[in-house]
Amino acid sequence: MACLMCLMCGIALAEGFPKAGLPAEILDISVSGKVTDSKGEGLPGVSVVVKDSNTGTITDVDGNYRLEVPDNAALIFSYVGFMTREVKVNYRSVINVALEENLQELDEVVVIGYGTQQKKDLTGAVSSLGEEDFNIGSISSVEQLVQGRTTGIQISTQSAEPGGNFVIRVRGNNSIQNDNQPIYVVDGFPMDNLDNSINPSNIKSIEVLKDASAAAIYGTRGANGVIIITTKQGKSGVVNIDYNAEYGQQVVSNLDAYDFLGTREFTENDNLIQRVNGAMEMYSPARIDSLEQYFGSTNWLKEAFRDGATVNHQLGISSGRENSQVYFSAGYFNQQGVVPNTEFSRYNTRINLNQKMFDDKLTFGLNTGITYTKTNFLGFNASNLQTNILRNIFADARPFVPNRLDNLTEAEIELLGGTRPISPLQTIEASENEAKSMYILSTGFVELELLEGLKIKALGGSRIFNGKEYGYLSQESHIVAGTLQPGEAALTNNQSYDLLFEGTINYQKRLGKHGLNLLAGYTNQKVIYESFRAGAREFTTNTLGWNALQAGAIPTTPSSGISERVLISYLSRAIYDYDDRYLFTLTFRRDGSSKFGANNKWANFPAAAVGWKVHNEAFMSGQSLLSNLKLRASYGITGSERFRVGLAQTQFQANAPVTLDGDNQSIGTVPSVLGNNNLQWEETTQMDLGADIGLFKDRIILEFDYYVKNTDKLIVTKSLPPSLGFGSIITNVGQIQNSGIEILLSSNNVTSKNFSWVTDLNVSFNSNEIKEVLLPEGSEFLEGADLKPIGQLDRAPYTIIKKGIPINSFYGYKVRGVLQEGETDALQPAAVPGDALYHDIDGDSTITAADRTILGHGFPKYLAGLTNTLTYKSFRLSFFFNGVFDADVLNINREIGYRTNRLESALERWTPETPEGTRPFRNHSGQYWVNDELVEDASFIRLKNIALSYDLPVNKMGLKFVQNLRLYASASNLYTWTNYSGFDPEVSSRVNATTNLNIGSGVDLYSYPIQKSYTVGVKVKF
Amino acid sequence: MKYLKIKILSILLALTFVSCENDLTEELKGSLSANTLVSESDARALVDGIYNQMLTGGWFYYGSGQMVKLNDGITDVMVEGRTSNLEQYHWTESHADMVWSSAYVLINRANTALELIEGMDESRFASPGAKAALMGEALFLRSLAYFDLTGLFGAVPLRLEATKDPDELPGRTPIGQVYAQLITDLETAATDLPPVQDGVGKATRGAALTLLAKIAFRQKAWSSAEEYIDQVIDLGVYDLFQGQYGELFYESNRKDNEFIFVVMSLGAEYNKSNHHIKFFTPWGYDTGWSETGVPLQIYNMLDPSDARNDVIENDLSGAYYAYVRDYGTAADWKGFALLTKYSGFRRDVTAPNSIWANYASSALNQPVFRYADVLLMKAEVENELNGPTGIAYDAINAVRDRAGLEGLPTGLDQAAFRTSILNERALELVGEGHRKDDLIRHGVFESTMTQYLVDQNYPNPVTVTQDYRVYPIPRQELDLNPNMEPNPLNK
Repeated sequence: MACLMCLMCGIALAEGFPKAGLPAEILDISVSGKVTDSKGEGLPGVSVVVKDSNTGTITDVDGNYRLEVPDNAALIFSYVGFMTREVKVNYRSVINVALEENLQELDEVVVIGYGTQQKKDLTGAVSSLGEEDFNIGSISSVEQLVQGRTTGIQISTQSAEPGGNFVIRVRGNNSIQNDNQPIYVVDGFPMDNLDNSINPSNIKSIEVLKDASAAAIYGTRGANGVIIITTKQGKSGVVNIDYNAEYGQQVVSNLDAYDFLGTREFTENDNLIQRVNGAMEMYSPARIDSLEQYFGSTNWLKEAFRDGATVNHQLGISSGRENSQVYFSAGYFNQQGVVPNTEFSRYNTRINLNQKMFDDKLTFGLNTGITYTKTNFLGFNASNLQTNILRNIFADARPFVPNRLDNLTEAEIELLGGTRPISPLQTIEASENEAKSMYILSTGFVELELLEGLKIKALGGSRIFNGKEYGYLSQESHIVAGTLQPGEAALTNNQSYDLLFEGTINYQKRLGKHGLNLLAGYTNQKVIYESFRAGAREFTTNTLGWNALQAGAIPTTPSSGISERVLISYLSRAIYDYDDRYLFTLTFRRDGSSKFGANNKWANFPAAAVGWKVHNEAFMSGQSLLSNLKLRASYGITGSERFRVGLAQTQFQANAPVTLDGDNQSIGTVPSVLGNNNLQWEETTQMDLGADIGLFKDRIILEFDYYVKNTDKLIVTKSLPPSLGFGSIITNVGQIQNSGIEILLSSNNVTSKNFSWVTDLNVSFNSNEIKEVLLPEGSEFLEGADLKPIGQLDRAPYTIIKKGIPINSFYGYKVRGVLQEGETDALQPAAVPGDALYHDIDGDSTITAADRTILGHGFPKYLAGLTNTLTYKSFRLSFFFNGVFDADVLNINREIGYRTNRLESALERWTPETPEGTRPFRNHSGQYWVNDELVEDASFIRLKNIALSYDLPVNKMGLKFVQNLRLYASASNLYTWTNYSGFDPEVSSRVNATTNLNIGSGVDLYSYPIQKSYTVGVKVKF
Repeated sequence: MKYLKIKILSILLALTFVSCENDLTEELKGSLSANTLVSESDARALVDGIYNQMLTGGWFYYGSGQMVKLNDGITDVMVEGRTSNLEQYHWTESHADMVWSSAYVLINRANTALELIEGMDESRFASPGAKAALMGEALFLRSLAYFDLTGLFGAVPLRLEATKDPDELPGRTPIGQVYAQLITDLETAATDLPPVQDGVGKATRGAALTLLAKIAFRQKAWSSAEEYIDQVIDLGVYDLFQGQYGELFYESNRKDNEFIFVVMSLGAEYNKSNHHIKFFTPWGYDTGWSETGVPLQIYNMLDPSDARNDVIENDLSGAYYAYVRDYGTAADWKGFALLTKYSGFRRDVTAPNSIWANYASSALNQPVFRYADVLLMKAEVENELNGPTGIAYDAINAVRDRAGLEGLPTGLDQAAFRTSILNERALELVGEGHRKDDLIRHGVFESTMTQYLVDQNYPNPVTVTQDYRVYPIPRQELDLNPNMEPNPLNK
């Protein structure tokens, strides 16, 4: 293939080079004039080109232009957002032109990967979002910018802590084990994760490639969808300085979601349990009185939270001349979390350059963004035991312990049990965790037009990441079993070098009714990842923290790692249209990955699509209802290779420490991976049928898509019988289907001089079904994600992987009730009064593990977003609702609050004295705690954002140099309509860093609660 | 001129397209492959890798008392946790699963090491016999894993080659064939291993011989047992620790020559240390996790002057929390005595208050074989072959004498002497994982345990039958390996 590419270059070179300009057979005259908009305002930066030539210019700040042209030529005036006009010169020397604004959204240019295309010519399913579609408010990440705004993409908060992550799914979950996040392509650079490295305010547009035809050009990385991010560029002829300042405040929406027991309830309930157990009561009536009198009741949740704040400053400067444009930006964003000691800051700079040379035959460009982020965090993984502040509160904190532990009298300490209690908030104070990350993303390209329409482009880029994580746990800390021991400091350094080269040839030609756009290319991307960790403990002081590891008497074992992966690809695409009526797209990509097994190094990804612009047919003329009707169909194959390196090879690791003399350690070498030479990518075959409809001159726009996606050869860890001595190998088995419908409706309800009202509605439906799954002998399903939330609960699986049901289906028992005194139960003869009774799902008259059933599912079936934007003169009001329907969450906080006697749910415990109690006296034993009592409906409708802005009349105020001055205020997450009883239904706690959210989403366990946010800001444009 | 420039640029661009070949071989710089493992130090590392599995990351197999719980915890010498299903004989397919998988990982490591070391050039080893000694260590460790597996599960798949094909699934090997293989391997190991190693955690000739004796005990092959035991004694390497009994289990005495084979612990970091402290210490006593201890029936057998009171304690005056101290005795607190062989106060006699600071791990040994056990075996084998002779009395009385006790009353008949040995073993070796084999060997496992469950007042006490001599085969093995037959309790 590489050789073929070179052959093509050779042909291009042999053909010679284009002629410059036109031979001067016809007399040139000087033409000047002014280009205005429909209101008569001069338009700067309009491209004025002589038809069929390379001669042209750009209008100045006032919209004026001057050009030498042949006297019989035609001029083409074009400008983004306006209808292009062609005017015959006709021997005139002054030609003034008014351009009509282009209200038809369909004329937008859409970035499609290795090129652009007019939206009206698209044959694939692509969602395109511009600045006007982005969310407003305290936006810290790209994901927040587009959450809820378009169809087919689910973005939900994983953890609402500052700098926290999101779960993103384009058209559902394809894979059980592979990462299902889409890939991101930032200014042509593909990357697996954004990691908060992109400044949202630098973004000009975001495109989501959803179907196979659109995504196949990204081959083995296209199956999860592709999110293309394009940053802002300078514009010719204008200098703009934009400055935006924002301040926001965050409060936790509903801390009252959980009712904690007060001192009296807690102690009396504890006594009750002890009494029934025949044990000694811990709290005498006198002591309870004293505790209440001295300490009242502390609500530790309220003690732990504060108001959060965000500050955002963004500066953007754009300028350009005819041949060169530059965009420069600098930004600062800071968020103080609602839990003390959680904070996220980002500092950005960006410079984007564009230079044209040699009569625009040659274009150079460079896009560079540098980002530095700093995150202070606490453990919000459920497994972080005592480093998770919410775990301390739900499982440990006692209400009679006052939040003034340094300030207790001897008598008070005696009353508290003789020892000074440890503050449940110790986590906040005792541990310091910080992460600093630096990202440099730089892409440069050179593009050469060899012949008219034939362009050759080389693009090189790199993304350098240098991240450090620091941790120190104070010596006095009582936190045990955290990631650090008391008095331990650790430093981790992760680096990656992601290097890209791309060469593409593009040929565009229009011959009468035939339009052709051909692309061929080669890409090579290499990622080198390195990590290093060192630490020490036994410091003589807390002062040094992690800043001087050599001060610790005992160094902890250092570790380091390095991995490399290479992806080499050949890509091609042909787009053909006939008469602006019939559209055809063929795409083919061939990918070779170092991660694949030796027998399966190369993968092919073909796709095809057709489009039919029905409204351009003769039979459609004369009707005025349908201004646009395009039918689309596509079919193709994409892949996913998002698994770790080193899974295909048999390996040994020198990583088995042991001491054989009791003093010194030696490092043993052990077989670590049983290789699989056949390991390959997952393969997704997708069919998409779509229709784009415009009604009443496109005042109403409707987009409709139906898709069926089958993902095959799933990457799975195949468990091996333990007797083989290896736990598992990675192999390709299984199939998942996603099918769905997406509807997007946009309506200009009112458009008048002073008032406009636009409504945008998007609805997505996705249905997921496991079609085939690798099963051990004799079993009908696999257990999915499992969990051990606290010591008292047994580790138990809570989801199931089974043919015919959606991925991430919750799985457990159904509670029938509690056995009352004097009763026995036929199904559970061993049950004693107070024990939970369960439904006999399999009808075999005993209660066993076979009586578990499907209790719900963690991924929503329906997503919707509704935006109304009202404009009156200089005021703009928008309100945006988003909704998630048919989803469930396991609220484990409540179960823990009952087990640990901390929440009101503890009062629902059955005892002989409270026979009306619905929760079993001796708790659910074993794995029975995973039952339908945990499952809650997580559907919600949220007033996600409401924003009001006002453009000050700068002209009237005499601020000559100010083009625009906008004041705005917005509120996010203002109100949520839901039946969910926890903090918020949009939650997906990670149990630990390796929790698989494809099969383990939808758990609420000590997660950082989502906040309401109020923001005010000012935007100035000079 | 400028078109020349364009031409040059075009050629340069075209050149970039050519420089694009790559064979896509994945190079993993942080890991090794079989053909990089060639020298004596590689061989040593491969063998060390087998030892590493004895702790399985510090949490399983010999790492957190599992072997003790599965062999002693289910018997009358130890309460594994009064409400525990294991304790009450409601065994599930997961109670012993981690030992199963840990042992087979160890076996695969040993098989891999043996194959690779076998293929190494003799010239890569510094001294003659070094290669054979390393292979001897691997053979001993593999044999110990099979000894543990057969004790817990009966006939198990005998795997003697490194796993290469994940589709080749093993079935059970008859238990006699397993033992025959172990005897062959261990006799080779006993020949090739030195009597003393440069680290007390390494396998030695004495360890291999003791394991041979243990296998002979299982088979009640008394005369060959006697041979092996005498060989151990005749090595002259071992004697009984003569300090205060409880101090034998201090960190400071972890290298004492009473230990024949131990799993050592670095005591510094989680994955290099065992976690016995947590698993043999009740919460609140000194911050353990487990409700384990010694039943009062066994505790009451202790003579007040018996030094083994050091590790079977009823007195709570040293407890960490005041509320625990207030109970006075463990019997009042939990209903059993505390087993403190591995508990916090045994950690380091010099720093008794270091519990919180070093909660994570300890440098305590997990004893596998020690000389007191061998002496009691000597007494037993002598009694079985020749009755309670002076030799038998001498052997058992050496152990009693160290505990500060009088010798056994003279004139016992063979049966009474047998019972005395069983009782002596209970007190001497509690918490070291020998009781299940002892009860089975003495033919009293079923009766003793049935009675024990009744005595403990457990609800609906299980009648212990021969089926309980082995644990259920782990569910995962049965599910994934159609060639594996279940055990009686699997049904």
